[in-house]
Amino acid sequence: MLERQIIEKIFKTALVSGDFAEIFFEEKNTFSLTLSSQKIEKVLSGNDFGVGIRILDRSNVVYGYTNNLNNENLLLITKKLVDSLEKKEILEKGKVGKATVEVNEHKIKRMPNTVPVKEKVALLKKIDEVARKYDEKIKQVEVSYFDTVQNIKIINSEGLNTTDTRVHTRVSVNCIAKDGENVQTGSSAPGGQKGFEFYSEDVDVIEVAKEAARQAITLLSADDAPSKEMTVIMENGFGGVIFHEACGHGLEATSVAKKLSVFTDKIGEKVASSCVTAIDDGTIINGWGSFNIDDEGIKAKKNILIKDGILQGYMIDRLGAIRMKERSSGSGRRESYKFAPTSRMTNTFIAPGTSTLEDMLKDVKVGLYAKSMGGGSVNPTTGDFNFSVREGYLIEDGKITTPVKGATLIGSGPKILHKIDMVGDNLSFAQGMCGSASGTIPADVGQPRIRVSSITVGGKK
Amino acid sequence: MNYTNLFNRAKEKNIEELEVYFSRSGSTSIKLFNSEVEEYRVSDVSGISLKGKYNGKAGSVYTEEISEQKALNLLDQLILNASIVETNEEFSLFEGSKNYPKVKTFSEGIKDIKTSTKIELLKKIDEKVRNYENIDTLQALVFIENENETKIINSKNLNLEKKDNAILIYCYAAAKKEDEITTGGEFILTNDINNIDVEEFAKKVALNATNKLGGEKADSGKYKTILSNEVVADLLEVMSSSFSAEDVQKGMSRLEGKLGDPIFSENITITDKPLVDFGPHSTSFDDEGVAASNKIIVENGVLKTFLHNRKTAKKDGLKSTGNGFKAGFKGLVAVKPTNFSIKNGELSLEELTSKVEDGIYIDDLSGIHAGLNPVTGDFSLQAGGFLIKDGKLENPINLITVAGNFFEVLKDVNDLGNDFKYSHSGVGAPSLFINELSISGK
Repeated sequence: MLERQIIEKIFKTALVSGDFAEIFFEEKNTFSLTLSSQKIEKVLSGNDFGVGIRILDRSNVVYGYTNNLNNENLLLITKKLVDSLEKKEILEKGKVGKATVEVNEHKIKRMPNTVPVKEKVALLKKIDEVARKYDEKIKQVEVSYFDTVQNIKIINSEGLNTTDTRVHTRVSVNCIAKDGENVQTGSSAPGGQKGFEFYSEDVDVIEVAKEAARQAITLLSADDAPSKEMTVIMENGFGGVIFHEACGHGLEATSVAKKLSVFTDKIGEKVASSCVTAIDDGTIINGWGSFNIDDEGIKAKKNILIKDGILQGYMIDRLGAIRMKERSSGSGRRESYKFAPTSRMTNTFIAPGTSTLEDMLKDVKVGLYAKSMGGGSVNPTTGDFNFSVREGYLIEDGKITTPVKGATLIGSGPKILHKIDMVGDNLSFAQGMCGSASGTIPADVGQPRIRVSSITVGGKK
Repeated sequence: MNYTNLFNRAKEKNIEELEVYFSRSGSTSIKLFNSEVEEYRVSDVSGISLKGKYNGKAGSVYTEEISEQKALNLLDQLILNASIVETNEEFSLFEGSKNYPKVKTFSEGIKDIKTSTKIELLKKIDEKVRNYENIDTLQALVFIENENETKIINSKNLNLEKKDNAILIYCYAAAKKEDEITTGGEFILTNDINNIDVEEFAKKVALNATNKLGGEKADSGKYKTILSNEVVADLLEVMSSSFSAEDVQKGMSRLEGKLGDPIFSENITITDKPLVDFGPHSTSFDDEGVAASNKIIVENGVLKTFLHNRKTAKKDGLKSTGNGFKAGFKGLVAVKPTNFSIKNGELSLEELTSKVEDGIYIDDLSGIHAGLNPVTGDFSLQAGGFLIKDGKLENPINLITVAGNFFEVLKDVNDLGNDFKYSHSGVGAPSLFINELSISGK
């Protein structure tokens, strides 16, 4: 498959009008299970298979993809792509390098395809049982599971020719609690770049089940959240979605290079409160958003984005590097061969500080303690972001009091970073799926508990 | 690929029934940035999924590696998958509907449009948008043309095929005035390039990008509120799962047990009409091969039917409504609406605002995937729009949140606009005047 000769031909055709050509080959096996109403209801396995061809002419991109790997078809697509660019007067000489294989830093003990399906089924049933037992008001439990093994091969006209493997698995639980007309939901969804050992070594599935059930039950007795600006304390883990939305997307070359981001040309400037240090680290061992090499073949890196409030760097892919006259930061990512890569986050987090929960609560008269967060979104051009608080509690006179539901926090990214006035010491990570120009990819968000001095809380009250 | 061989081999392996679902999609897209072509993409991807009956249970597999050998190998995986399924209902493939209605979903002209024509069109839009005051950059200006083809063949002699195509153009612009930046855009989904009014489109893009300049937060409180057509459609899209019999049967819909009951205001009628020519989700049959038909879901506020696929219909002793769809060859059949719509009203936007007198008009919502709970219908969302004073749209407002409950909101509809529009998602609605919604701002 993809013989040297055909690759050479593709490059030769591509470099008539381009100065760089790249072939991204992918084969991904997926297995998924869904349990609902206490029964295994859906089982699906499949394989994604195809190739993406990218040609660059300075900062112009042409991209084609297909799963028909027939030589004529690949050349036809290359030809179509090249014809949309202007012919070069001086041709680049492409070369096909020697094939190499990346060493997998993210050790996998039990490859998903070697694990008997019975074990996967048993995992789901255990979670369902624990969640239902938690409280009789839990009326429905849905548990889904997936594992994927993605094999990629990246060959470019600069001589890179390498292959890599990425293994991911995740389980997600959704509980529905009912009390008369009152219906609430709770969920929990841990995942890792791991084999099936993830469910014995890294997470306690009993706790995962209980957490989803606890959330749904707690919300049954929750009041509507208030509507006004107030101090908000955000718990660790998925709370990191605030940085992801308020700042992370705005630091991606995709918007910075085109000067579409509010953080364009701000390196060295104070963009956050001094207690904020933020990092995007694609090298974390077995991290959900980690990899050995990015989807352009660049080794994963640990990138300091903000140090003590000062902007240090951006997340940059090849195209961003060309546009910004910088180097790639190993941030070129894509969902699959169906997407051209672009700059994306990996595992992005706020580094731990020293404040305790008591310190944070002490002088808060009225505020919100956001224990569990949902997703959010941002407009990188304006910096306006939003994210939802799934489970919150009022803070009254320095004490955490009644549970509240349905709060959304909104604000302007650049402004909110200056309002983080305390950072805790309990850094943890949570798994997210981040959707953007190059598709939906696994990305970790993380933070210790933080306090924001003032932010708009939008509730129903 | 030779399907006969595959069907025979399946039989040998005791797979009692087998279905091959084939889909192919091709697209080209062109993106302009700084008035130049920045990106050009072409694609051609196909895939097959196999669904088989083994010991009475359904097993499913899919692949993008299309070869007879691969398909044959998949039969063993299909058997394995079928043997894990635990649901009680006896599964059986569909032998076909008596008649299949005709609906237009394919336009011959689309594939003949020259690349140069597309670029010319984009450049024209680019130029027109830039001519408007305060426009700073065009963040995205894209022309996408796509074509899809689907075939379903099964061992019960079902043999169906369909194809559709469309043109999508979208443009998002950023406006700048002093230090303030706002963004906005517009899209066109059409089957005829000659139908595009460039002037009108550019005007809308520019207007949406600039009309929030000078925006402020509104005072927190309860307001008479107009939700714009697109905003209503976006909310309805997420909540459409409540009308799925699958969710109802699992106890995951608040509409469970409400058939025949008034659930919304009397002025609300909701339809699912797959037989509208060139609609965003028009089709003559669903992914199980069941003939599509137009249906009224909510009539004058009363819940008439849920949406069904073959499995949910069987469970309720009904016939499938032809809403068994999957996300291409990779998915499993679930229940999905087609051109799901709230029926148009009669008032123009001016008449609606004058009826409101004092209130708020919301035409921008963000974070719907996280801030709207599809089961409970509770939402709290980042929003933007305009104040309505003395019956007229006044100062722009931004960075507020609007909160409520979808089911309560549709019980509180004072009146409807006559501006029915399909949103990007393919769900359609007119603007709605809601008697009271909570706004959080200052």
